[in-house]
Amino acid sequence: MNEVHAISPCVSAMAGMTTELPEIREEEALDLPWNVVVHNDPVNLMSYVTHVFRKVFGYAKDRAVKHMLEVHRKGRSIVWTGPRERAEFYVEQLHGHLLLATVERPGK
Amino acid sequence: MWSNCTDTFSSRRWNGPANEIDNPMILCRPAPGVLGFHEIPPPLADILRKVPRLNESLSERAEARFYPEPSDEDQLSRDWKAHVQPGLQELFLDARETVSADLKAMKEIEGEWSLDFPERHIPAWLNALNQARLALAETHGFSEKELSSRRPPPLDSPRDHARLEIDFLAAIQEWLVSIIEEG
Repeated sequence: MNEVHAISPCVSAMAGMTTELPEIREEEALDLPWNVVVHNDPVNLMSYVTHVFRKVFGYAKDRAVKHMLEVHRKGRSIVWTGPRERAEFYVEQLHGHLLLATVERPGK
Repeated sequence: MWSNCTDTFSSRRWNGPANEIDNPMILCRPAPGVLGFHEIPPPLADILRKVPRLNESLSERAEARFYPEPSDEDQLSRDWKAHVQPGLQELFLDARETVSADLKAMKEIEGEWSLDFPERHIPAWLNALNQARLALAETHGFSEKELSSRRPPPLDSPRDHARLEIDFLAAIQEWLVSIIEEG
């Protein structure tokens, strides 16, 4: 999945150039921490969402409850931040538990 | 066999509105590593039997809920559909098949039904119950306000029945989560 954002071969040939290339910005973005965001939905139970946060991220109950309540009250919660590949893995896990989750670019 | 059983379904939600469900069912641990649903009234047994089938033919709306976009980036969404979604479909199918196999062991005892299944199947049950509840909610377009209501549905329409089913399956889900959380 990540190869989509891999640096194109032409980038190395352009290494000496100082213009801002989209590919380079992409590379920098890959190094920045990405957010895993869980969104509110009407069906998932609060206890179930808390359980999933504990299971997927290994969070202590207090932390899992805090994120669950943030989702419930504010509509979304950034539940994890880190490297993009890991963030995508977590979103896959959350989708496997039927939670609404997205991976978001840093700064969004 | 019937020791360690805890009656957790005494809510009027299950006893009152339908007049057809006049006994609470019993959720219990009949033996180490085994969970049981005992004294299940026939209408609730019918709801349980439907769990593995409730999302067999998903509407477009339900399909979108089961397989949400992972991002607002088109390329990632395309890759996700191609590479991640098949794995999720398999995961959901495995859960439904496990529950379906467990349900085949449901036995009738003096007009009520009883089901025991291995505790290690809890993750599959949680997943299949969630699939069923999501499929029902999407099919009938329930809002959060409706699903949060503490008032039992009047059971005047198929939609009311769907809400009762969602609530009933939620109660089982809550119990299974509590089993896991208690360790």
